[in-house]
Amino acid sequence: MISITENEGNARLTTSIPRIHIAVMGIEKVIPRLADLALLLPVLATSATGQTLTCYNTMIGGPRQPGEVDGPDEFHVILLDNGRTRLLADPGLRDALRCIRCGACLNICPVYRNIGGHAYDTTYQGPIGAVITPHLQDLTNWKHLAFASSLCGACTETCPVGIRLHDHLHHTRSMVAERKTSGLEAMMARMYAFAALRPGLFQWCGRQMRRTLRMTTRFRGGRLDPFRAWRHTRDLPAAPAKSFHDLWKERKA
Amino acid sequence: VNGRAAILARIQSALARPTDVSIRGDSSTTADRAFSRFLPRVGPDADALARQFAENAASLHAEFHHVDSRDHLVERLRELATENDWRTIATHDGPLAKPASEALRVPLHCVGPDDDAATLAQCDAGISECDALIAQTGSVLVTAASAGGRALSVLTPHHVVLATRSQLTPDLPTAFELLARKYADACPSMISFITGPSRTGDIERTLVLGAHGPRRLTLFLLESEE
Repeated sequence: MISITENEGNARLTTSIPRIHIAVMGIEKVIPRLADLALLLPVLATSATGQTLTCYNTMIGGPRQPGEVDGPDEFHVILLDNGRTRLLADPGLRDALRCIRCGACLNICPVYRNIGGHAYDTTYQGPIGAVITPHLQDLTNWKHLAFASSLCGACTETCPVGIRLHDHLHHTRSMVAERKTSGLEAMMARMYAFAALRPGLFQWCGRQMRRTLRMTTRFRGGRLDPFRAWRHTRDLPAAPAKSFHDLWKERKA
Repeated sequence: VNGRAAILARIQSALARPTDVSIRGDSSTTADRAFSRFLPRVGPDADALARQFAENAASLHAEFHHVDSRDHLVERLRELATENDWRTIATHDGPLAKPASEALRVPLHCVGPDDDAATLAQCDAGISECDALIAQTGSVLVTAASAGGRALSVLTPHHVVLATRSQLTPDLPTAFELLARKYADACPSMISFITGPSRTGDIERTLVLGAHGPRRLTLFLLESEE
């Protein structure tokens, strides 16, 4: 049998009226016994929306049977791997497959609450999305998600199935660190290190940066704006008139 | 390529490496036993179950009424029909639902195997029986066998459930035991726990009543089956 949880009733309608029912589910969602739902359904609802149980919890075991008045003629279940066995193969990440998609880690995450779901550009967002996406998709293009976290651990504390999300984020960061960084990234890090070790140069760079920010405000989002890619979707904070270094010197004097 | 064999092979080879226990939480130990502590207590007797069900139904915005006899049930249904100006209603061939619906003298559609869903969609209310009422959660347990198939309990704007006192059940584990006992040989193709009228939390995470399913859910508990 498959189990569908919802509040609206659209899933019940969709599985009642059309002639063919096709259900798609991840392979990690198989549970041993139907009666286990007596635990899982309230856990899901409580963690997701704070309801004791969502409005419709429906279990479907096949097409319409002889003697039943309605229901589809055909019933198909598609079990989807799509990278899940890759997660399963990593002994340190396997645990993330216990996720029941309640979204509690999203709602409590300070990063998610500030940037919202669309910023992740992934199917699964928030801490759990940041844990699984780099492995379900690919580490190179999605590794940034593991770094978009303060590792505060609020997600781990709230997770009803005990996934240690911040440990998984940390684990993913180590995997990234063990890989060879790209040439450009390494060069930029070297340039930063060079400037950071020379206070005069560092302050000069800061001044240039503040000047550039002020100058480009008038072209904001336009073709001449060097920060176009950023400002296209959001604001850059305005450059302060003086640096911390300047203020320190002033107040000491 | 056989996808099933390929996936099973991948699972087998993935599980060859043991889980890294340093990163696995210790929550796998007593989670199921511990969880029951977080749900409201139920019981100890039938009156307490009825009271708890009524409280939960009220907080879910379902309407819950006790009726003493079949005549009383018909009387209350007739009031409901007049109040809401029911033009056509739907029911199924159940020993409680069909006679009660027929007694209303409102044009009646009794769902059957050759129906068109459009006919049901025109009805103002759907009257069905159920398998159980769950006191702990305020849910109604319906199946394709007990409640006239799949669409009757979800397609009309007002779902009316007729239950008997013996159908009061304390919690979900007992409901699953009941299902296993009742349908041991032939499990219906659809089982559903209905917990209040249809709602949605998708818009700014605020629950709003009335989405794709019935906007109203009325429950009648028949005290005596005579």
